[in-house]
Amino acid sequence: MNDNSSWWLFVRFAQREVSNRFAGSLLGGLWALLHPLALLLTYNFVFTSVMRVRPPPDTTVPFLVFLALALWPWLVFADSLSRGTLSVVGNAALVKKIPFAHELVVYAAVAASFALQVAGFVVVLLFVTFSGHELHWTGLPLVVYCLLALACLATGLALLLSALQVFVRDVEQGLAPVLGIVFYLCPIVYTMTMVPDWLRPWVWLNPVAVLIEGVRSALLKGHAWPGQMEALAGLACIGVLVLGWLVFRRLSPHFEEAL
Amino acid sequence: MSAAGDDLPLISLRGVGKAYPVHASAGSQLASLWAKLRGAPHAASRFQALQDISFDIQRGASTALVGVNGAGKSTLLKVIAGVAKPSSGEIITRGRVGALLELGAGFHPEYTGRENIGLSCALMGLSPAQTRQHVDRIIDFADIGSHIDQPVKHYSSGMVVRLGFAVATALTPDLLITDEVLSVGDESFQRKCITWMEGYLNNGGTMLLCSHSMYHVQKLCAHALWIEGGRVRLSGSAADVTRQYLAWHDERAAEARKLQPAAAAAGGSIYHVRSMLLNDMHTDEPVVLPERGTLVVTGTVHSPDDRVPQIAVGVVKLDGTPVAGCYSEMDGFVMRKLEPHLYAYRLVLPRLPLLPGAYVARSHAMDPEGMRMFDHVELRFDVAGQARETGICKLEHEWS
Repeated sequence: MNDNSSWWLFVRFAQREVSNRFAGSLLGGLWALLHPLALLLTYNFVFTSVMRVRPPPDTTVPFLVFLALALWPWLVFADSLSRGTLSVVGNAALVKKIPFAHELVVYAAVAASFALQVAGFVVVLLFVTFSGHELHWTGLPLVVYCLLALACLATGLALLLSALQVFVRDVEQGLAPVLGIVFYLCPIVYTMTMVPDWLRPWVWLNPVAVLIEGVRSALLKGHAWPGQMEALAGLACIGVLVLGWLVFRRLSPHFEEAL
Repeated sequence: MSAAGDDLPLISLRGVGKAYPVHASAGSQLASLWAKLRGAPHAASRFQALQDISFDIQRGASTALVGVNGAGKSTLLKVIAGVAKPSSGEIITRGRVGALLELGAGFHPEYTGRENIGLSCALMGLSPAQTRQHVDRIIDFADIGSHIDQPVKHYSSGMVVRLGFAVATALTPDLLITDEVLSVGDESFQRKCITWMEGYLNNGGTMLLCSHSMYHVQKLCAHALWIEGGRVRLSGSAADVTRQYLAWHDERAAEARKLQPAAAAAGGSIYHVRSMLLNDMHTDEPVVLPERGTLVVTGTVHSPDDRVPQIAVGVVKLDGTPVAGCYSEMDGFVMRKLEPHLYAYRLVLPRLPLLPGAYVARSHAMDPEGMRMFDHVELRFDVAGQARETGICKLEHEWS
């Protein structure tokens, strides 16, 4: 199979991944937006109406906007990762019967998820802008950089976990709670300035936290280029991608034995 | 189909083995995963599906795999197709290999037939341009009418395989690997598939197929490999291998039925066969006849009341399939008295129209009224020959 047909197969898989998501549902693609919107409104209800959290001290936007700017990058990451993790087992029938490069289904699952969630993010950003809140569009390069780094990380982890999932089905069971915990370890419903000083370096060790904070500060403060933290996080993401790819390459010839 | 390297085999297998891990506990599962990650062999309990398989397939020398279920045929095809990785040995491939291990394997039930053609073609390595070029012919070949625009989940299993095979016809690999795909679909569709395969072979294609139909094996392939217990038991011309395989298969079926031991003791109170010979040969080996040879069955029958008993002689295949039966009572034959209580018979079966294979002749003692059949004695005989017709017997025929 040459590079061209691999690319074409990837495109076909990704198309199918997107249409699978909404196959048979009446609202179709709208669900990609409705689900995060519902999540956003719930968080807003809990934090602003019930707990009366004041807007974070160093921001000028309402809490809802503040939350939305970090929630979508998180969803981009978490959704891509969980879809990617299940992609190999989900395509067991193909893996067992047809010779092809197995990593394509992982790439396709991550890419489809990424594209859908980023589309949702764009809609939200436009909505925020038109509702009168000033966003710093000069921060766009940093936003793109952070999202790409998150995509690298999600792809790397998805390669790693999807390959392990074939042999140890507990991976899927473990992933959901871990993602639930990591969500709160990232500055999404809070800002880094609210984290106690002694704890902050530990939170910064998490590349997801750095990149999400990167997106938010780019849009709220106009930081245009990756700083030292974002650069290091980006390198970590590439490292994970390479590791995931190596593990996947090692395990993929054995998939048929375990599926 | 490329002409490069015509003298080299399309595929060479050298000492190929495949073992599947058998996990008793979660611990051994993790240990085996860790071994795979390190790339080290893992000494867990393993099921050896294939062992030390070596053969070549030359361009144009289509080959069939025969063997009972569970012999390792499908695993071997998977390993050659590249779906499974051999645990030992090596496989050298020259030229494009197309694999059709299961018809419609890439189909998604929610999508229409037409939509599924797209991904299936992409999975087989066709570009969008090639897919567009083939799509009409694929739909035409599948011949499932307006169902092509219905979701595959509404298809009958027959329609799925029709479309599955149709998609595969877009391929023209140097070597086409198929697993039992000819056993599906109705008669007319099977004929269509065979016609396509013959066309593919005539255009220089080579096939590696796995089939339980010896007819298909002989029709499509020049060579055959008999796989038994994960090893090559016999390799040779398709005619030879299928004949020996069938003989073995019949024998196994016969053993499973547990041949009746011959009634031994002399005397006794019922009619029974005392002795039986084929072609007057006193041997434990099966008697071997040429095609259209003569079989002479002789024997003696014990009569407890000294009335003249009747005799029936039957011919069955080794697996018990009846071929023919002759009755002394119907033919008005009266057995010769040798001594008190002992009668003799002799039956000549000239120019036996049996096809090569293993058979059994049976003598059944019957009461003088020809009503009841008592114990029987049986002897095996083989018909040797090169005839390639299928079935049991050779019918006189002429074409015009």
